[in-house]
Amino acid sequence: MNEKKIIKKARKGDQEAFGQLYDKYISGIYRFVFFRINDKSETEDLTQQVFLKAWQNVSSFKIKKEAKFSSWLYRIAKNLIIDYYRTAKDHINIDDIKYDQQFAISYKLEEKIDNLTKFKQVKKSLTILTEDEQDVIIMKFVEEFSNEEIAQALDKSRGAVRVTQHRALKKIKCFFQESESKNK
Amino acid sequence: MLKEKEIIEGLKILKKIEPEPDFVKNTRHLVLTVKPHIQFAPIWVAGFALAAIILAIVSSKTFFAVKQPAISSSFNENSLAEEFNEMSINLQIEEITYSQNIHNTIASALTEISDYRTNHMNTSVLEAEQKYINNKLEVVNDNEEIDALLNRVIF
Repeated sequence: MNEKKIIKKARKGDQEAFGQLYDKYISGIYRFVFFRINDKSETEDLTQQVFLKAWQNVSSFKIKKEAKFSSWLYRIAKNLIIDYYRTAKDHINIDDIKYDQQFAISYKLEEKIDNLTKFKQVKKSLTILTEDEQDVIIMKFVEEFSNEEIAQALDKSRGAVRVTQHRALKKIKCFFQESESKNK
Repeated sequence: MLKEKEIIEGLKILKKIEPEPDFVKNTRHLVLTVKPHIQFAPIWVAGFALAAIILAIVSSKTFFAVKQPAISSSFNENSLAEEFNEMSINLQIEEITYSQNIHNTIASALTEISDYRTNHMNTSVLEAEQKYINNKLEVVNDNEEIDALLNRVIF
């Protein structure tokens, strides 16, 4: 069944249909929140809120040719992250997080990853980016979204997404160059 | 030196980060137990509102129709036709009666006017009566005995 039909069913309150959407997007939303919050329990809490809010308001999602459900879901996630930082009394700075805590979630998976150093470096490279740049890079290269989907989710034009993407990649490139030169 | 393609490949490694299966399972269960807010499309809302208005108008008409038989009968085509026929016949009868009365009144008035034998309408009789009254008054005014009596009473 294609996604539009599933969304139509979900909008009518079909639990099974929304369950399918949940299964499809849970990992992506989790990663998106995790890269911004950098705390496992807070990430789980916010991810749960994203899907709860989406399920409660799924009937308000308008099925149009251009409108993407993924974009709508990521926009909910983004707004909840903004609210989180607005209300959290003391949020954690990624630089202050110890390695074990930061990567606790992927500890088992890390063993499977051949290039652990590269993984750590890539994760760290995201910290030098602005929030918008992080969102664009994660959505584009980790979640493999189209520019149209990213534009909808972040409420930007496709041109703005391309520019942000270009700047972010340039920053990451510089970060790796500096790391290489330090290692030498 | 790191190329853009290598950076992008490096970024894809981050996809290996996954939520714990227990969390996924529990959250799925928790989310789906909550009831969603089902919103009706605006066109449906407008439709329901219109239907409610029509229902209110029809029911109010029916309510008033109970008190006024003429209105209730207006819903029935046959009774409406009957009512109309009866109404026109009654009107015609009333009109005929009215014009008959008028004709009678006019006719009797004309008869009285044209009839010379009628005393109170005869002009010569009226003139004679007027002359008689005038003469009487003159007679009364010229009476010397009355004057003498009046003088005696007053002085």
